[in-house]
Amino acid sequence: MVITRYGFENCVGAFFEMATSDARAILPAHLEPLEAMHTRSVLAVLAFQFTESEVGEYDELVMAIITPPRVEPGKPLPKAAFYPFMVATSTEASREHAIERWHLPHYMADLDFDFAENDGKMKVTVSESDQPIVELTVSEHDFNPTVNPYHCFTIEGDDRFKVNIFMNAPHSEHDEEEGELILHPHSMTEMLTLDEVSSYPMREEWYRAGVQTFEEMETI
Amino acid sequence: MSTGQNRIRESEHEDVSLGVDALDYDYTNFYFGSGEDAFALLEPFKAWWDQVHPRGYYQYELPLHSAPATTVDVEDTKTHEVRRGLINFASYNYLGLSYRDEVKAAIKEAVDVYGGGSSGSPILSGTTDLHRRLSKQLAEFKGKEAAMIFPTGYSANVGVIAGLMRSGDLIVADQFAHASIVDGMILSKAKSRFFRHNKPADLDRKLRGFDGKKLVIVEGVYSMDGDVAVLPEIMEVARAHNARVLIDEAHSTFVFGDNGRGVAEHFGLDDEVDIHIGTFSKSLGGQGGFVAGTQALIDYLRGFSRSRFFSCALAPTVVAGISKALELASNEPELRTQLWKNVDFMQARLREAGVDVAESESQVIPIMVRNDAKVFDIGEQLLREGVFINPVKYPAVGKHKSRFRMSISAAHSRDELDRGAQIIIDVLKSNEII
Repeated sequence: MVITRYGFENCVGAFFEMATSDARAILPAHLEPLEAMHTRSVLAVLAFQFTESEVGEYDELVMAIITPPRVEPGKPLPKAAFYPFMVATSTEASREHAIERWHLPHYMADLDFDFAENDGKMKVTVSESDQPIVELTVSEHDFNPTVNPYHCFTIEGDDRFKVNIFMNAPHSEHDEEEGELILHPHSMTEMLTLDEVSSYPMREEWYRAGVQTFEEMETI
Repeated sequence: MSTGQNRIRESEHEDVSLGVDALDYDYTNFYFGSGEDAFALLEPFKAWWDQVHPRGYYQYELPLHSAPATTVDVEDTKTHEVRRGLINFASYNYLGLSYRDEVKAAIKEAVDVYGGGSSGSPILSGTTDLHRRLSKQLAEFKGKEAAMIFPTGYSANVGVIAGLMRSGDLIVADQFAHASIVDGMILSKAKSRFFRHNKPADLDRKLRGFDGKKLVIVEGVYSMDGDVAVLPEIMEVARAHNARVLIDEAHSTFVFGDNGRGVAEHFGLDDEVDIHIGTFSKSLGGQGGFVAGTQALIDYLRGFSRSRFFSCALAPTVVAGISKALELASNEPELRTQLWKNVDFMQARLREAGVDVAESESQVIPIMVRNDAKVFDIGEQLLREGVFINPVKYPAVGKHKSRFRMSISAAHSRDELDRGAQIIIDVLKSNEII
């Protein structure tokens, strides 16, 4: 099996309530949104500082809908499953790589990323031409060494794919609602009804320096 | 550097099916799962359950071999022994009524007249004169025009919410609302929203801009945290939006208010709140639930609360016991006084020792552990040291918000409270929680 590895300095992410009607409109027909509460699905916003990859260093923002994982007898059960519907990066090479290899939908411009760590919090600001698009703040909890498996679903035309992803790094997660998300009107966020996305997270995650490992993509 | 897959296989508690330490998983991992077989999750769930049950989950559904009194005999299903005389902080019997001689005598008397069950839906043959009498007693106690009985507290919330609200309406509930409230919201098909716990400003935001029928739902005392609804501020917001208000007083009836009617009475808002829900399983030590309000409300719900009329009516024996317990609770306000003395003693005893009891203001006291990995080990130690108390962990509460939920009863003696508190404090200290 061909394994693809990405070394990162930080990966911060958080889960936010969003309208299930938006989630269903975004997801392909074969995927269902996972509801945290009745009619409230889950928007995952993740930001990576990649330091080592086939395409060098780059920063990345992923917006995804959380879906049920695909259960396969005898295989590790993932912690969660995602359908990324918008990915933005800081370099053209990283976009070309991810589109070609993983069929991830991208915003096709180099964006500016600012990772500001202060007093146990990381604030990530993603901007274009000095106009902020996404402002994500995540707070830390205790860090423990972890290897967390995830499923990532993508599509290309009528073809459906799944890739197993492992996050191998010191990991912190909590539900203290200390973080924040500000989404600005922009073509990257136009698929979301912004008033329906909660500004406070139901879950905050932080991976310190570690490795993200992708197995080979499977057609499902 | 090894791949993630290899690192997983080096895990101390490796499991072939799961791949990682089983206790890193929880119920949420087995709730959803795509694929083609409706049984797809059964096998991985069993693999997980077989590992985690002896490591802690066995602490749920431990069989009692005695009444839910202040001390209980509990079967330890891990060691297969019955642990006798444990100090009981797990049962809801807030006034100690379930095993009172008068209650038992009323139940025995009802058995001779009515037999075991009610043998019918309440709208057909299941209603007895005992049911009618209890409904009247409840209405009088709550100071309302009418009341209606449900077979469980769960069905009361489901039946009332889904019986009243429809598709196109809006329901906004506190985010910590009980599952029965959430399920009622789902069943109603109304638009559902949740506001941040006890944050009226967020309630205002969620109600804003909606023109149709609106219902706001709160609890009097929140069952996992023991804190109280900020009802005056919530009422103000609800009224500003012309929203009706439902309060679930499951844990606050017979505890709060001059007459024990609940948190609404405590705040002087008894007549302002539109719908009052309660249960018989908490302070009255029985089972079942009820709704109280105007006659018009109860008459309407009688026709539309499907969870009631498609269920068998409460057994007459149960109703007889509840009726007697209600009479005792109403006539013996000293029970409530004693309960609050016990609550004040335990809250002070724990806080002085540095135990984190969060924002509890009631007889429901969360003993915060905030360590998901240790809560089951601590629970096992408490069981062996002589305390029966339930661990609560994710997903019932948030990540790292694991705790023990302590229920205080008026029947607890000062010695039981003191000994129980000391055991808890010692065990928490030995685990470096305090």
